[in-house]
Amino acid sequence: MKTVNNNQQLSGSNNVLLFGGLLVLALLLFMADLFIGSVAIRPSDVLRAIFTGAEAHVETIVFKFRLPKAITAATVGITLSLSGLQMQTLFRNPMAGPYVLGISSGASLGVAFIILGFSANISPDTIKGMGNWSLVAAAWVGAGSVMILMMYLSSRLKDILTVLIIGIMLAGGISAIVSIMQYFSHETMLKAYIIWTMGSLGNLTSSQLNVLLLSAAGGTILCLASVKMLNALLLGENYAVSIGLNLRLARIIVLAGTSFLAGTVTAFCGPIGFIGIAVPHITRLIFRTSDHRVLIPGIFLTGSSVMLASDIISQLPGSDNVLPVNSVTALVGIPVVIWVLLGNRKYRSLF
Amino acid sequence: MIHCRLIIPWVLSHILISLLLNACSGRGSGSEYDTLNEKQKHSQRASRFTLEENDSFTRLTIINPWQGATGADQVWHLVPSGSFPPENVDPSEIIYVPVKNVVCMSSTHLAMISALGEEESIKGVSGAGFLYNPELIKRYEQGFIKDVGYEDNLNKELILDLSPDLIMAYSIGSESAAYMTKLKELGIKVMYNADYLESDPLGKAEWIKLFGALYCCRERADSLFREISDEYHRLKKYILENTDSKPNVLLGLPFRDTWYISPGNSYISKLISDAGGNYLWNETYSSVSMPMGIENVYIKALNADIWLNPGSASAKDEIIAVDPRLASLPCFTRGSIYNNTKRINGRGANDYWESGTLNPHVLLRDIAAIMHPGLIAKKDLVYYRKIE
Amino acid sequence: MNDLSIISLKHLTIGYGKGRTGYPLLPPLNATGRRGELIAVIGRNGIGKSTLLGTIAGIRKKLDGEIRISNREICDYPQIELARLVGYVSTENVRVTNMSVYELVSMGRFPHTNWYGRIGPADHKAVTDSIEKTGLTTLTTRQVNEISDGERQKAMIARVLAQDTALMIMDEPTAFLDIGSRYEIINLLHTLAAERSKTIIFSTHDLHIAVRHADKIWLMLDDGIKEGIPEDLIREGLFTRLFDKSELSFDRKQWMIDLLRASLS
Repeated sequence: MKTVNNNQQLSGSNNVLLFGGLLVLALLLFMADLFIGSVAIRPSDVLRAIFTGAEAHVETIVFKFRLPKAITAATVGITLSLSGLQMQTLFRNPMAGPYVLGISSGASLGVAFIILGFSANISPDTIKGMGNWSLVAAAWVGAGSVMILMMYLSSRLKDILTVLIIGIMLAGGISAIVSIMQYFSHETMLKAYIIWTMGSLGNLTSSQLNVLLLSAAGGTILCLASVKMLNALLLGENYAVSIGLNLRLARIIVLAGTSFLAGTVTAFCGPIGFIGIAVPHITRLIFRTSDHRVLIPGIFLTGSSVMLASDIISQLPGSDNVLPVNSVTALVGIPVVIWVLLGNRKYRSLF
Repeated sequence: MIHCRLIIPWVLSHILISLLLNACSGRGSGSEYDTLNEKQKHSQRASRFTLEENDSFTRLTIINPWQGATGADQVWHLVPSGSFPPENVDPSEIIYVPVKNVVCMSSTHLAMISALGEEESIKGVSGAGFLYNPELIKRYEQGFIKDVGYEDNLNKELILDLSPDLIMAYSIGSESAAYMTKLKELGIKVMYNADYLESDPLGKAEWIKLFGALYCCRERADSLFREISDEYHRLKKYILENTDSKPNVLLGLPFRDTWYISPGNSYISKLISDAGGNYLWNETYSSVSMPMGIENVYIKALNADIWLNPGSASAKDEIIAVDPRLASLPCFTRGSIYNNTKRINGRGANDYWESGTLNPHVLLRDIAAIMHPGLIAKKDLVYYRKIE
Repeated sequence: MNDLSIISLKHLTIGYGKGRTGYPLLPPLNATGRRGELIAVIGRNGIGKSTLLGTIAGIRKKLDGEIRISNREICDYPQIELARLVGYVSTENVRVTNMSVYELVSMGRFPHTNWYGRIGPADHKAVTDSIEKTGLTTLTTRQVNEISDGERQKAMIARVLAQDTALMIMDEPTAFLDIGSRYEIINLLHTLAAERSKTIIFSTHDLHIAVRHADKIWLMLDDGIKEGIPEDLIREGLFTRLFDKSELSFDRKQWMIDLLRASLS
C-alpha cells in the first residue's frame, strides 16, 4: 500500500517500527535461548563456542543441545501460530486453533498405539530399530489420517460450522479411544505417554530437525500462497464467493496447509497447546489489523518470540529442574492475552 | 505387577513437589522423616510400620502409608484365630492370624510371602502377567491364583468371591485409597503396605516381619531378616575397608528432553553409597524423582564412571534411540552400563521388582561388583547385566 | 435480446438441494435486465427473493434452467471472471474487527489483484473513488466495527462498487436503515445506474421506493416473475396479489392510485 493517503502511510510506518522492534525482540530471545539453559555457562564461553571454539562440553551443550532446541522453538512457535491464524479465519471463530479439527488427537492416537503397545505388527524391537523416528512416524500417520478425513468431509459439507463440529466430535472420539488404551496399559508406558503429551522441544536429532524445517517451510509457503484467500474469508463465505473466491479450493489449501504444519510439529514435539490460539490474537492486537499480508509476517516474529520465551522459562534458569513446555506456554501466554485484552478496551472484541 | 498405577497424579506430583521443594530451598521438609527415624532407630530400620505385642494380640500400625500422608495411620489388631477378640476394638480392625487367604496387589508382597513358604495362601494377584516366581506362575496356571485386575478396573466381584482374609494393597495417594473404599464397605480388609516408601534398603526388606506377624511365624521372619541384615552389614564393612576409590554413578534414562533423577535420599542412592560408589546426585533431597533438563544431566554425566538402570534399555542401541547425544558420554563409550534386567522371564516380568526388595544384600553385592571388579567377581551378578 | 442485454433468466428453477432432485421454490422463472437499469425485486416474504438474488450472484446453485450474463451461461464462467461481472451485497452482517473501511472496500478489488492481493495505483483509485461516491471519505481509516449500521452498509456498497462489475446484486440494501440513509442509498443506486450504466438488481420491501425509483420491477409471484415498468404493473393490478386475503379489507383502489402517483412523480 505505497500510494495510500496519509493515514495509511502513517500506519505503514507504524508497521515498519513494529516489525523492527519485534525482529530485535525475536533475535534477542533466540540469543538468550542459547545463553540461558539449565546448566550455567558463562556468556563469554558461549560466545567463544560460537565464534572461536571452546571446551568440548561447552560446544556440545551449545551446538547439540541449545541451538537445535532454539531453532525448534522458533519453528514450532511460527508454525503453530500460522496454523491457528488460518483456522481462526477459515472458521470465523476466535476459539479455533491448530488442534480444533482433531489433528493432535490423531497424532496422540498414533503415539498411543506405539507407546501403549497396542500395535500387533509393530513389536518393541521394530520400534527400537527405528529410534525416535517411530513416534514421529506414528504421530504423523495419526494426524494425517484425521486430516484426510476432515478434508474429505469439508469438501462434501457446505456449512463450515458443520465441519468444525464434526472436527470437535472426532477429536473427542479419538481421545476416548486413547483413554481406553491408557486405562489398559502398563505404568511405565503410561508415564512415557503422559510425558509425550506434555510436549518437548529438545529431543530432535539433526536429521529430524531438517525434516521439521523443510515441512515448516512447505506449510508456510502454502500459507503465504493462501494469503489473499484468507483475507477474502474475513468477509464470510458468501461475500468471499461473490468476490471470486473458489471456496472449495480455499478450504482444501488452508486445511492442508494448517494440518500439515500442526501435524508435523505435533509429531516431533508433542501437542503444544495454547500458542496456536493465543499468538494470532496477540499479533492482531499488536498490528491492529486483520490483513493477513501483515499478520503472517507478524506471526513469524511474535510466534517465535513467545515460544522462545516459553522455552527459556521452562528451563528454569538457575535451577536443576525443568518444566514441561506445554504448561509454560499456557501459564506464560494466558496472562499475556488477558493483559492485552484488558489494556485494549477499545479493541475488546478479539475477532 | 505394578507398584504405582495412577500415573497422572503421580507425574504431576513429581513436578509440583519438586517445585515446592526447590522453592523452600531443600531440606526443610525432611523433618517428618527425621522424627520418624528417630522413633524407630533402636528397634528397626523400617519406618512405616510398628508391631506391638501383648498377651492376647499384636497391634500393627502402618504409618502414613502413602506419600505426603499425615494422620492416615492404619491400625490392625492381629488376633490368633480361635481366641476371643479384644474388647473395645472395632471388629473391622481385627485380623485373625495366621491368614489363610490373601490377595496381593504388588509383586514385593508375593516375594515375602513366598520366602516364608506360604505361597498357598495367595489366592489373587494384580496383573498375573508380571509374575516371576515359577511356583506362583504354576499355581496361577493351575487356577489356584486368580488375576483380580488393577486399580480402577479391579474385578471387585472376583475379589468378593475369593472372600480373602486380607487384601495386601498399596496406595500412592489418598485419591487412590478411594478405589479400595468400596471393598472396605463390603467388609473386606484392605491393608496398605508402604514398603515402597522406605528409602533404606534394609528397611524395605524388614517388611518381611509384618508378614511374619500375619502368618504367625515371626521367628522365621526375624531370622530371615537377621541373615539379610548381617550379610548386608558384613558386605558393606568389607567394601568400606577394601576400597579407596568411589566411582561416580549415573542413574536412569531421559524421556524426550526431561530426565527424572532419583534424589540422593532414595533407596538406590543408598545402595550405591553402601556399595562404595558416589551417586552423582547424592546431595539432592526430595521425596520424589526430580525432572531435570537433559543438558544439565548431560554435563554432570560427563563425569560418570558407571551408568546404572538405564530405564528398560537392554542394549546400547536402545539408549541411542532414546537420544543419540547420550552416545558421546564417556561411560557409554567405555561400555560401563549395567541394568537390572538379568532376571526377566518369558512373560516380561522382572525379578528385580519381585524378589529384589527382599534381597538388598544381593543387590549390594551386584552393585559393588560392578563398581569394584577387583573386589567381587562380576561374573556372579544376580540381578544386573552389562548392556552391550 | 440485443447488445444492451446484460442478464436474462430462462426457465430458471431456484430452490434447495441439488439439480433436478432439489426442492424448487417456484415454477421456472423468466426475466431480463439491460445495461443501466435499476431493477427492484419485490414479492411477499418467503417467496424466494434472497434465493433468486443469491443464485444470480453465483453464491447458490440453481436447480435447472439458464442464467445468462453478458450472453454467456453463468456456469461457464470461471469464478474469478464472474466476480468481475457480478457483485453482491446482502443484509448479512460482516463481523470483523481490526479492519478499516479502506481495507473493507479494497476487498472489492479481489478479482482484479494478483495472488498476493497487492493494491496498485489503479486499485487504490477505484477504492477511494468508491468511498467518495458513498460519502464515507471521512471514515476511511475508521474501524468497520466502530461505525454505524448505515455507514457499514454504505461501506459494503462501496466495496461492491470498487469491484467494478457491470451487474450488482443487492439483497435488501436498505433494510435496517433509518429513513434518511435509506433514501441516500437509493439515490446513490439511481445515480450509479444512470451515470455509470451499472445494472443494479435490488430487493426491497418498500413498494414506494420500488415504484418511485426503479426503472423496472421484477414482481415475484407464486406463478413466476412478472417484469415491467412500475406503472404498467400497477395498472395491470398485479400488486394486489402481494397481499393475502386478510389484507383485502383496506381501500385497495386508493392505495393503487397512491402508488401510481408515486411511480410517475
